[in-house]
Amino acid sequence: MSQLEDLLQQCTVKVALRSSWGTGFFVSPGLILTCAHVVKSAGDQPIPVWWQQTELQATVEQSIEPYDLALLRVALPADANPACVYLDEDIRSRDPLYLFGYPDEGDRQGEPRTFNCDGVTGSGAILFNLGQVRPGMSGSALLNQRTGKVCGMVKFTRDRSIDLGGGAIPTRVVLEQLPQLRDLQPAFHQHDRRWLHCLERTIALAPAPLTSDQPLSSSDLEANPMPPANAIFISYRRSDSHDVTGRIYDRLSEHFGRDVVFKDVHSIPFGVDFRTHLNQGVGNCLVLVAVIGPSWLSVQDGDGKRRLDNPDDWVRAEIETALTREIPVIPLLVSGARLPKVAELPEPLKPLAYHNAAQARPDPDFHRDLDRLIRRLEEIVGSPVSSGNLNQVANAQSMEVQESVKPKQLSSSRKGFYERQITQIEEELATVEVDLASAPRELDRLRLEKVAENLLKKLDELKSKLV
Amino acid sequence: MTFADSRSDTVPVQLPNGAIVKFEVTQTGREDVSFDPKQFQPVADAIEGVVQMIATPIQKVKPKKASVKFGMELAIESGQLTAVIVKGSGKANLEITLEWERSSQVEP
Repeated sequence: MSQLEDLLQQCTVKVALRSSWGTGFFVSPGLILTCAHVVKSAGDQPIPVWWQQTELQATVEQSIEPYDLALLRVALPADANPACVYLDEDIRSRDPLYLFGYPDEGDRQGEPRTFNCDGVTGSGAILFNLGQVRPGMSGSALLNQRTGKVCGMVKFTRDRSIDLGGGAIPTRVVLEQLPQLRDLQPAFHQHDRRWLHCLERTIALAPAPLTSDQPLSSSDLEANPMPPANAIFISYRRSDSHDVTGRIYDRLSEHFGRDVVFKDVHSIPFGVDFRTHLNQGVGNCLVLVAVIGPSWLSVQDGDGKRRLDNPDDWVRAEIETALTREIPVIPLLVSGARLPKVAELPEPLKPLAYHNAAQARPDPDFHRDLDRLIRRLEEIVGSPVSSGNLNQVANAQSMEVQESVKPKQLSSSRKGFYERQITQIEEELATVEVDLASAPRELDRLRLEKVAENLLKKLDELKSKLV
Repeated sequence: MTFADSRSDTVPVQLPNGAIVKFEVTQTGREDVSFDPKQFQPVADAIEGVVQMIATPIQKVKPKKASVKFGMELAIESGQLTAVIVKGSGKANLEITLEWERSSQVEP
């Protein structure tokens, strides 16, 4: 969190009038938010504002005294590029809070404080305790360390001499009274990613997610891996094994859950490109079950050519994708089919001949064969938590196997969480690279390179967690 | 509730002539936290009011000789310097003694 704290300091200014002072912070380039009571005595006079040891001149752009809010417009030197805080309304009791302000005692260059949030008062003010609020801290941004965003602005102390804490104007009121910030804030953070970089870095490095919006218990993480959605991909040839594949699908989805098992027509949303969806389906699965019936190898198209020899053949495309991506493939032999020999397979599918095949014989062996298949699949995708009475026998049988070969696998929610982060970081990296190409100054380029380097490092970290 | 060794704090107070004096105050409580020297005027107004309040009945009764003594302690309330009239003089910031004497010469 310390990076975010540093950044918050860079957003903070000292609003220094002739004999009084307070704190303020940048909410948009050239706009500083502080309390109205801090600048009240200034009248129409320009207000000196100290930012990073530089004196700037500000004027009151808008003052809303009933809510104790004042927005200052400050003239920035051409080379100044102050960071702006990220405003967010989220605040709950017991949130850890942090501020950086300019108290009358102690370090004249500003001091940090931490607090514990009491909650919100009847009239909407944020109360906090376990920290001393001194005169001079009015207008400090209150950083919610749970969300990594600024939830309010300090207004009063409950006792200046002791750590009784104080109160703040919540961000909700700030945004209600100064609605222009609702547009200015996203516009700034879209363009200047400093705050978001810090925030994502903080979240990526945190051992557990910061927000309880993504509740992940430790058991969720490792102890009992749940099969993620579309973990099992069933590849089959319609003309070859349609009926039995339906039975196999029913049995597997009954055990693992419908969303875990992917079988083309059932799982493809209407109107989505078939090819893309299959590719994504195969790309995202953890194991591919290739159902092979008696005519799987030999089915021909209209021109009398073997379908399997056509690179556009679905079945070939699916299995080829899985083999190239090193996704485990289980050939499942049905209706008395045998495993194709190396020589019979097109070049990209030749490795299939060396795979350890499973079989699903007709009744009375069907269920026993499927139990065996399920055990093999559980080794790869994990086992469902509760799966009805019907499957308890199968579960009991698979106990030994599971205990001896327990795959260390991420839960789907955790995996999804990492994957979303990866996508975000990749998008950011793209933006940084565009900026880098157009940055005019050496200094900016160096900074952006550093940012890109950090992003790449983070990306590696996340990817290694996913492997 | 105040104890003999209750904590206190000094606050800068601006006098009407612009000079700043630090006053020891015992109670501060909830107040806005911009740093600004407190104004002495509320205390001056309070002293004036208290003296008038005490003087009125005394002038009515016209005793030959009277003296009233009171102590004032300073506190911060709602961010303003406030006078508190206290028992005894041990902890008073200001001790004010008022005396009346009827001069026999003036009396007819």
